[in-house]
Amino acid sequence: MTASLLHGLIMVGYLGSAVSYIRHFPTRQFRIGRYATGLLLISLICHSVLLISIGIQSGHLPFVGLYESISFFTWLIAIVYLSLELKFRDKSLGAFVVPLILTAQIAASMLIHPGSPLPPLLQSSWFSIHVTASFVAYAAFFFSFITGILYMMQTYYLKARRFGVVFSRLPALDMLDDMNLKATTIGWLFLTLGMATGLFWALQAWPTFLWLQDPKIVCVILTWVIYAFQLTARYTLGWQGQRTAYLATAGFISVLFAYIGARLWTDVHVF
Amino acid sequence: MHLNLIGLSHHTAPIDIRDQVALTESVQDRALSLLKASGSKLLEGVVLSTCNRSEVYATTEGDAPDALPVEHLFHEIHGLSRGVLTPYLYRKSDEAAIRHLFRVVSSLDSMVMGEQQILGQVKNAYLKSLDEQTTGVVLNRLFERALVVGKKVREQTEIGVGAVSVSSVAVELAKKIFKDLSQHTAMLIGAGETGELTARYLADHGIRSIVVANRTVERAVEVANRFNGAGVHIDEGLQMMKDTDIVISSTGADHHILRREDLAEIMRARRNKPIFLIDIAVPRDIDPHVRSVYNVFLYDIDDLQTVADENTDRRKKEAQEAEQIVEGEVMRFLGWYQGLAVTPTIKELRRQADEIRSEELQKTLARLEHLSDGDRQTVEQMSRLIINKLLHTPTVRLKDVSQPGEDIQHLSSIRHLFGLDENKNEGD
Repeated sequence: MTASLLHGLIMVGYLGSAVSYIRHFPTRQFRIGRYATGLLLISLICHSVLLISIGIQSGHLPFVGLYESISFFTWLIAIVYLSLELKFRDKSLGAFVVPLILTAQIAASMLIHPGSPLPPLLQSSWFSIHVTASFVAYAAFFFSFITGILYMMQTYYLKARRFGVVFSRLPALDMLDDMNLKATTIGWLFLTLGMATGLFWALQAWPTFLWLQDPKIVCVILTWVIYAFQLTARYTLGWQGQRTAYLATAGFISVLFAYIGARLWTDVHVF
Repeated sequence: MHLNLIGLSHHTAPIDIRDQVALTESVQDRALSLLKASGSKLLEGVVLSTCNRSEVYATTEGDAPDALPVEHLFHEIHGLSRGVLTPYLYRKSDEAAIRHLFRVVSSLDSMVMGEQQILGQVKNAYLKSLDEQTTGVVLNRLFERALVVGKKVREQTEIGVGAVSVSSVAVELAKKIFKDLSQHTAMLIGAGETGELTARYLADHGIRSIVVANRTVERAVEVANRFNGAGVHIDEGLQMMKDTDIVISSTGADHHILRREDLAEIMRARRNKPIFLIDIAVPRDIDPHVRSVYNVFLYDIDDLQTVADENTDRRKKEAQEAEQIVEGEVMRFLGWYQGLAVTPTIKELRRQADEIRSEELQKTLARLEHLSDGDRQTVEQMSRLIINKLLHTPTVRLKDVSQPGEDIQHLSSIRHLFGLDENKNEGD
């Protein structure tokens, strides 16, 4: 009962916030911007309460099943976005990110969530760290993807000398690049942590597991390599801007395969 | 009490006249002391002076707007004889003066519509007068409201969005590539007005350093001194380009001084960090084919002019919306302003009636000593009821007069009809 009320509140909150961010993007009205951020913050608080209550009820971290995991993922994205907005004092990304949060949340709520208890095998703190770290990494990669796409759009507008509304509202190239670098670095560090803890846990729980037969692990290793290459190229070859934006896109496609695609091929590694 | 405005601006006066009346800080202080010394005719005053306008807002006593003392002050401030300025002056009062100030502060009356400075200039003019205590109830409220209107117009419309000159468009584009100009360097190749202006804008926006490159080093140094830059020979300048993020080129050369190969080499040397090139020379200094080089962003004067024109058109559209906001605010302010004129009249009317009533009551009761206390009270009660009923309609009508759109002139008719001003003079 309370859970469904909370859920409704979250949906309405994200909806209002998404609409406000989209309205704010072309108009840049101070008041609308404040609504957008305020509603996002309120939704995020409700969302946190919901996730905590699910966690307390089921006795494990709230990422079992597709519903919980997507909900957890969008929650992380909302947190990362809000901190980026406050750090860079720029709301224009919100018009792209918050509607995606809303879509993901709607998609999640359409899936039935059984609230099944965690199988005993997975009741390990290593496992919790593994999943949490991986999720944080995915959320960060999502931002490196979005900022990369916006970078490419902005470069196109600048080169083609098309200075429309979208152009005038997007942040400066170097700011997008800076956001992209930060998101990628955070994502890569958490992915590394997630992989290390996953490995550690699996060695204990599953000594006979055949690593390379799990398509998910292959995808994740590929993802790790792509982002590692991007960071190396940045720091040693001085790559930036459009090239790293392409890499961010490639990396995120790989993340999607790891996150969703792999679910279709394997029933062992469902997150 | 009435609000009067006397002034001149780029709409009415040519530049040489405006130059003569532009007030420096010290003259502005003198203006306010003149205002204070001007005697009782001027109640309050604010002096507004920018490069393009010089205006005095003042309230005067009396039934009709009285521009004369204000005009007198205006001439005195500028130390010019009447004949010089008179043909260029505009005079406005009450509603028209309020509307004028609201339009000015919203930049609707500015030379470049949507410019930002005027809001600060009006604010400073007001604060100065506030400091000198030359303002009172009316001008305090008027200017505080005007500042709110100016902010509101800029928040709710896009009248100030988008650069409208070639050099400011260039700076705006630079900021789409480099968020923080204080981390970046610029170079001006050649000289020329637009080039220098662009360099100056970059300096104003906090660019880290500016190098000026020219065929003659002396000329380069001379120009560079104007924005604390370094002057170098043009060949040296081309060598330094690998460390330069923004290049403004405006030489008189008849061939391309930067070709595609040059840029390819420069970009290799700067490890492909973005470079922003502005070519404002005619004929062009930079080969347009450099656009195909990775992370090279080149704009010529036509590109910049197109953006400036589009932005000008958009500002004009936004101005219509701004005019509506201003009109709404004028009406709102008038509600208070006209009420201000009406309230004392209502009070005087009531006082006059009450004086007559109590005077006549005393006389009457003195002759009717046989009445009991209760009867006396009844008579007194009746006298109050009579004047209340008599004054009810005039009071309501007076309050109506204070509504925007109503004719404030009715007020003087009423005062005349009841002889209010005569009474006051007798009292004095």
